Order: sequence, then C-alpha cells, then structure tokens
Amino acid sequence: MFIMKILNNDRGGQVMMSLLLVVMIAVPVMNLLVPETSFLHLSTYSVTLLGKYLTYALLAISVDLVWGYLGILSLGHGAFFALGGYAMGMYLMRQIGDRGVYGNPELPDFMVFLNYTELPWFWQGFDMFWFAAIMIVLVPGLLAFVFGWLAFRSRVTGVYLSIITQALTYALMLAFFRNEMGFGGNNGLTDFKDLLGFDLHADSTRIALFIASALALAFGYLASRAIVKSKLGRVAVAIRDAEDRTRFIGYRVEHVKLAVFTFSAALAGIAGALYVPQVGIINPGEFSPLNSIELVIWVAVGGRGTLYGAVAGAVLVNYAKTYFTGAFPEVWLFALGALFVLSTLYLPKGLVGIINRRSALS
Amino acid sequence: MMVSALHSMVDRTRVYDFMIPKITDELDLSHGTILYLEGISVSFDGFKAINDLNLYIDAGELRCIIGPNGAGKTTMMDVITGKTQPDVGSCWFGQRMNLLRMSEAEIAEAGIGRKFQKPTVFENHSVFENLELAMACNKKVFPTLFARLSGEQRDHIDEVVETIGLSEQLKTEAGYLSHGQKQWLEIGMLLMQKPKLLLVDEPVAGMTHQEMDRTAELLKTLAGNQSVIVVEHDMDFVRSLESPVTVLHQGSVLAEGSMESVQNDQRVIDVYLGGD
Repeated sequence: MFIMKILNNDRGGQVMMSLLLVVMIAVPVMNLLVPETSFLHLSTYSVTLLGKYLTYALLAISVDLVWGYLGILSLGHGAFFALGGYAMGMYLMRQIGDRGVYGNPELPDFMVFLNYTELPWFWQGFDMFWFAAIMIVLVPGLLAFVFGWLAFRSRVTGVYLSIITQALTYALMLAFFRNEMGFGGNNGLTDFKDLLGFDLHADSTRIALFIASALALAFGYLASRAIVKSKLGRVAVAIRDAEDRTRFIGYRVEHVKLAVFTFSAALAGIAGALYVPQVGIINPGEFSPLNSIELVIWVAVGGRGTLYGAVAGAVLVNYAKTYFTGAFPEVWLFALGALFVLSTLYLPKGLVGIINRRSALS
Repeated sequence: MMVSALHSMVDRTRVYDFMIPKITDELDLSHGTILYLEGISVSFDGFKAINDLNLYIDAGELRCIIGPNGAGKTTMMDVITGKTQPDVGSCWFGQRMNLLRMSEAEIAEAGIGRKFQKPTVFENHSVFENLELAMACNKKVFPTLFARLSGEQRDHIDEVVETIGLSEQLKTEAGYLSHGQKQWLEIGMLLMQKPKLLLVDEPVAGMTHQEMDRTAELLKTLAGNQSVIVVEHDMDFVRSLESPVTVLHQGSVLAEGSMESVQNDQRVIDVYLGGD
C-alpha cells in the first residue's frame, strides 16, 4: 500500500521496481535451479557482477539525490561509499579470526606483519555485526554531517563545493594509503572468509548478497522517492533553482542541504558495505577522485533528477565498462570521456530524457 | 588611550549589545510605527552606499521610495531583510524586534516579505507549488518532510491565486508564465507568507500599461492590512499609487511628502526629476 503510494505518478520508478523484482527472482533461479549445461544458466561470476551493479545503482541514487534535486555536484561521493565499505571490511577481517596466514586470533594479518601488538581502539567492536552495521551508516553520515555543516554554513556552493568534495576524497585516499592509519595501507582489507557465519565463496551466499543488494536498492529508491515527493523535495528543487529566494521565503537552506546530504552519504555507505563482500576487497583506490567523477557520469548519462535514470545509467555504463575493459581495455577511458561529453551536449536529460520525450510525443 | 577606554566603560548612556533584546514573538505596533531605520550607514570598500539614513514606516502605510541609480534603495532593502549588516545604526521592526540581530530566515518568519527586482519564481514548480512553498508554516526540515496541506491552507492558496489573477494557470510551471504573470506570482508568494511588511522592488519593470494599472490596484488593496514599501523608477506608476513618497539621494533621505510636494522641491528637481 505504502509502496504503491510512493510510486504513484512515477512511471519510471514503477518500471524500474518491476524489473528489479523480476531480476530478484530470475537470477537465483537461473543460478541455482537451472543446470549448468543449460544455456539459461547464470554463472556465479555473473551473479556477483550483477550484484555489484546493483550496489553501484544505489550509489548513483545517492548522488542523484544531492545533484539532481539539490544542485550540489558532489565529486567526493566515492568517499562515503568507501567508508561504508571499510566498515564492512573491518567486520569481515575480524570474522577471519585465527584462519589468517599468521593464525593470530586477535589481529588481522596485516597488523601482525606490521608488528602491531594489540588491536587499535577504532577496531574494537567490529567483531560484532550489529556494531559494524551501525558504523556503516554512522561513519559516512557523520563525515557528511560535519563536512556539510562547515561547507553549507559558510555558503560554499557551485564549483567551489565540488572542488572541496574532491579534495575530501583525495585527502582520505592519501590517509588510507598510510600504513600508520591502521587500515591495511596500500593493500587494504582482503582475504575475507565469511559473513555472519556463511562462507563468502559459496553460491548460496553470493545469491543472498545479490538479493540483499536488490533489496537495499529498492529500499534506497523508495526512501529517496518519498523524500523527493514530499514538500522537502520541492524545497530542495527550489534551492537548486533559486537558493537566495528559498532563503528569503524562510527555509533554512543550510539545514535542508545538510539533512539531504547526510542521508545521501548514509545511502552511499550502505552501497559500499554491500559492494565489499561481493568483490572481496576494499583498498584506498576506492577513494580515488576518478571513481567519484565516474559515478557522476553514470548519473549524467542516465538522466539526473529522476532517480531511476541514475539506476539505469549506473547499470548501463558499468555493463559497458565490463564489456569494453574485457574486449578493448585501452579504449575504455576514451569511451567514458566521450560518453560524458556527448551526453552533456546532446542528452542534457540523459537516456531517460529520450524515452520520456518519445512517450510524451506518442 | 587608557583614559578614553575607561571613559567609555563608565559612560552611562552607552547601551551594551547584550542588553538589547533580540526577538520577541509578537510584533508590537503599540506606537503605530512598523519600521524604524535610524542612523544607518553602510559602506562597501570605502564607498558609502547608505549614509546616516533615517526612515519610519507606519503600520498599514503604502510608501514609495524613489531615487536615482546608486541612491541606496536596494542596499536599504538588504539591510531590512538581513542580507547586509550596516556599519552603524539601528533597525527595528515594531517596538521590540531588533532586525540587526536576526537572520534572514528569522526576519522572513517575523513577517517581512521581499519581492526582488528581477522576478525570481521557482521555474520548475507549478504556480500552486510556488504558493505552497511560500506559505507561512513551520519551515524546519522534519516538519517540512512530513508536511500535509490542511483545508485551511488550501483555501488560503485559492484566495491568493484569486487575488493575483492566476486561477487559470494553477498547474502551469512558473517558467512558462509571462513576465507580468511572474511578477504577480511573486507578489502572491509574498502574500502567502502573511507578511506585516512588504518590500516591493520595481514591481512594474517590463510590464505593459494594463498590467501596470492592475499592479497599482493590487498594491493599493494590500495596504491597510499590510505596510507596503515600493521602490520604483517609473514616475507615472508612483503617481498612480497616490501615496507618500520618500526621495533617496546618495544614501540618505533628501525629501519626503506627497508626490506633488516632492515634485516641487528644488533639491529633488536638481538631482532627479530635473532630467525627467
């Protein structure tokens, strides 16, 4: 009932949710029930790949929420994704226990290697899933809150804000590269064994992670749609279009920005946390400014300010990336650049814009 | 140095900032004056945009402010709405609200609405949504997230739409409205805030004559319930408002009175109307 109410008047969202439901049922069936010899069989590798796309789609939604509706072009959203990922990675590291190469029951391998004698304080508690789950939302959310509070209060907007978000993720990347930070430095966190007691390499766990990603995407979409549909969403668009005017009407522009930005960072954190167990590694490369720029391109290609456009963009661009980096690895970055230039020049409303125009004409 | 510092400390007439009350909930109009500007000066990089400006507006009054470019009209509006802090001076809303210690949002909430020179409506929102956004209500983040329109609020929107004559365009995106219609929509948005004092900056710029007449009509009906300050260049329009006029020149008041008396003032003729 509630879901129907949120999706009311949202054709794109209805289509997207239906597709998601189909995929959520079809993928486990094609992987687990269809025999491997059949042409309809889906390999576990593909399941994981699709699961990864879904977490990217959730990340794209979080960017679209702040860029498409609030007009904040964040070039540092990868940082929130990576922080969520690290929080999950820390839990997975603690789950390894004494099965590591060095067999230390308390310390992860990289700490033994770096001559740590005891667990750093910020690793405490990550052996418990509930604690890690809270941190996945809390750490990115808190960073976004503090960062946003400082930036929005000083009325930093436009290009300047984009640049400092970029600087934020770059600074975090440099910090996480350092061994002294206690997050595995260059190599990051890897060699994960299991999650909540389930073997990460088992097909069934992979399917469960895929379904969890799909559910998170559905939840993230509905929550974002609910915000966008509310009066707060209309205030956000008003801020995007005429910030000063909104302020004179009496809205606390900084508070609105801060609330939406923080929510968006928490969503990105959840996406990161689901991404890490599927790809099996998290390292400082995830903080790379390039990643954050790439995900802005997904949203631009899909069509910003629609939410479902961001989902479409993330899945399509990443499918293309998988294909290109396999078939013509050296072409990919050029293709990505061309995609961004072309979509800005000819598709200001993205792929979704073409479809909506078609259906409006007919 | 020391002695003068001591002197200023024991100066009995000095009112310390912390002694000045910041805000009270109710607008106090017991003396019949809604806005006091006293001794206001604003300078930008040495240039005095406003120089010892004194201005009083009565409750329910319609007042026109005219003056050549650079006379400080817009800066004065900026001071009243909290966008610019003056170097010296005081600015009170009613008897008890000190505007200089309030933020833009607080000032708007207290009942001062401003219409900008360039019509700025939310182009991607419909006329209805524009009015809904402007409506006086709790504008904090969470109440806004869960806001639902009450019947009373709907009635208020309908009423304002009627006043500004945009009933036909209720569902139209504001970006598609004509220039004049945008100006009215903006006045409508001001009315949704139920302001006590309206600041209207060049309301008829780019309007046709019919539109101008309708706007004059609209502003005259608003005065009485609200105080209205109109800043305008168009002399015919100011004349048609039949209201007291204040002439600003180089950041301070040059003359004040009816349009006729102001027009016959030699100083005014010299700086402004002489060229008309």
